[in-house]
Amino acid sequence: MCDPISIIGLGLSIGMAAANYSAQEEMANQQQSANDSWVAYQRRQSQEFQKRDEELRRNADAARTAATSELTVEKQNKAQENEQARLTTALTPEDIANAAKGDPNAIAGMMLSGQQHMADDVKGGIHSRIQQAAAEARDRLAALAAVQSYGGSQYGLTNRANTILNASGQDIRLAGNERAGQLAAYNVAKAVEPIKIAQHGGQALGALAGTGAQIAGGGLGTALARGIA
Amino acid sequence: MGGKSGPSNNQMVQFEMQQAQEAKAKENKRQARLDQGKAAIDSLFGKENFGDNFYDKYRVNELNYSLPQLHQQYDTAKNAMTYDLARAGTLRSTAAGYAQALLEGQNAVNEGGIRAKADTDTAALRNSIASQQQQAYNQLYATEDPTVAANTAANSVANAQLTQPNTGALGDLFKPIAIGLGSAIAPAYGAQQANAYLNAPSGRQQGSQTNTA
Repeated sequence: MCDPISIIGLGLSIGMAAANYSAQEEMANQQQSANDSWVAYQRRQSQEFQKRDEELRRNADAARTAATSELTVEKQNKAQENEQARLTTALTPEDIANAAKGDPNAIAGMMLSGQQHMADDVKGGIHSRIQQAAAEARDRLAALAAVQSYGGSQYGLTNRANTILNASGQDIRLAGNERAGQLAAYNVAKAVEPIKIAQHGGQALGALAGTGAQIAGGGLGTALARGIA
Repeated sequence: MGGKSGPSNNQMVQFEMQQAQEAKAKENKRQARLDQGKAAIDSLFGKENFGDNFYDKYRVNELNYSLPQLHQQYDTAKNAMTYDLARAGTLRSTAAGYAQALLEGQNAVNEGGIRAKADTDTAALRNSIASQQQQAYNQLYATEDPTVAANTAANSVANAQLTQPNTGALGDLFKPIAIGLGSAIAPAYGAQQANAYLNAPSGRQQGSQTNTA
């Protein structure tokens, strides 16, 4: 009924189809494995990035909060008062400070020559005026120290605040720079695509199965034509 | 034929969805931290802390430094004017009233200028504190967004500067008022008299005159 050629073609077709299916299944398994590896890799990269990014953010935040905690009104007032005290001492000449306290030697040093031998009551009046003038000068210098302590003096409020903010700014910048680098590296990792498995020889197997079916079909057709004739 | 179907990408899709969910949660936390940080900065630099008392202290100290110098110059000018008027014999005259009014006017204008300067300088202090607040905001945003960190750091170099008041001597604030011819020539006359006295020959020199009366 069927010629051997058709039988061979049919067998070839079935065999090649089975081989092709097996190859595709193997490819699917390999692709699944590649996908799993990709997910695991991306998850690991993501977790590492998030962890490192959070560490760096915390560093920046610690620098920031440390700075703002130094800028409270209490600390700024305290710093201003300390600087005012320092400046008051630095700006007030020693003899003025002593004369303002009533130190007779300091006051005597400020009297004109010849005034030392005046009558005591006259000398006392001059003493009193010199002491008063020294006290007024001391008070004015204290006010000057207060004004300076807010700004341009060595440890004045503005300079102090700028120093604090600059220091924290540098720490934040460092953390920010490192975070930006981490992010760039992570973006590269994110761009990694899963491996795409290709079936080598699959087309050949398919072609052979097709050829076998063509031969089997051709033989079967011829046999049927003969039978009809 | 049964067997395994094609490779599933469910796990990949789930991973992407999980990533999106984590990103959303992270963003929510970030926004919460921003809100919290901004509120803390607002409170730190708010009026309850840096109120008028803080700034008044600065203004009062500046006035305490400058006004005594004005008052001293005013007293000196007033005394000089009084003596000049007395020497000219015009202490109780319309001219005295005019001179006094002129001096008082100068004093009022000078004091007003000093008080205005103190007020302006206090405004500069307010700006300086506001600048600190702005930098604190910038640092908050830089902390939560690393891409702005570099810009913030660069800006922080141009940070707050407090314009300091002029702490030097005020200079002569009162224009001298010429009162009478006597007062105008008095200094020259006084100097001439002093020189005459100092140059007078002493009693021990030859040719000196001795008062025997």
